[in-house]
Amino acid sequence: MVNNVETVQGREMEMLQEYLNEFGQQIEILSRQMQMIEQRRFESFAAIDTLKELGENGSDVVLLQLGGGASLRVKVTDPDRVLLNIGSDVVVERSNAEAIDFLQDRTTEMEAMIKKLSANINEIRNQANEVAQRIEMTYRKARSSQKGQ
Amino acid sequence: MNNIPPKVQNQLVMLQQIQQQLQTVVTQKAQFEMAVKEAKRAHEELKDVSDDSEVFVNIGSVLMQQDRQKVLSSLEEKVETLELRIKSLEKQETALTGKFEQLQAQVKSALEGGAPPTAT
Repeated sequence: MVNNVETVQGREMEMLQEYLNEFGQQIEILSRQMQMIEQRRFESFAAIDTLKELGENGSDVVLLQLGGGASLRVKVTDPDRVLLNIGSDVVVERSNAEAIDFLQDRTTEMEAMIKKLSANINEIRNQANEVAQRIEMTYRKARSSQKGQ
Repeated sequence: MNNIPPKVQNQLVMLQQIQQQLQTVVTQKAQFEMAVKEAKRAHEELKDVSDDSEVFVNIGSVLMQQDRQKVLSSLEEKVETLELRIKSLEKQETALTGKFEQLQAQVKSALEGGAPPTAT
């Protein structure tokens, strides 16, 4: 009977440890997703600022960054015709104002997604804490039963 | 772990395998659901665009100009295909969940009561 109890306790510890590892992985995945969305949100803000600026100043010469620190002078011929990626690999031409509206809607959605992800992460963290406490309790129980023998 | 009967050990391994399969199915389903959502939104957005607006589709590393109506139809097709895949994944998910719960109950009763496991 003692052996059976020890086995069950050992198995319980293993399972709890597995849960804890899984929670850790889930938190990591969700945190990465949140960072990605955050980055896209900042990119959208930057695009909105650029579109507003170009819309107000008309045709301007801007620097097109090619990567590696290299840039080219580029003349924006028509700042009111914006090519916008609307998802599913589709790019469509919209006016400057329409593109700004679209991007602003997207940033609002992304904010909501970030809040939801953050709430999920907190929930998983709480569950992980509970599991960690249970591991601690099972461990103490096992030690006290060992001492009692 | 050494004190657990080999049959139950096998069941535990199977349980872990089913859990992994379930996780793969759920992840895939979530990806398809996101893709459907995105395609539906793109469709809605494209419907509002005037007929003379230029529409491009990302093909590999180039953007190809395409007819608006054609893009709308291909998006509808994409949604249909993805929804079929989601339905198939849902069926797989239900079957795996049932299998998992059944096996879990057997393992639990074998570990707690010491009753002999019924399935392999």
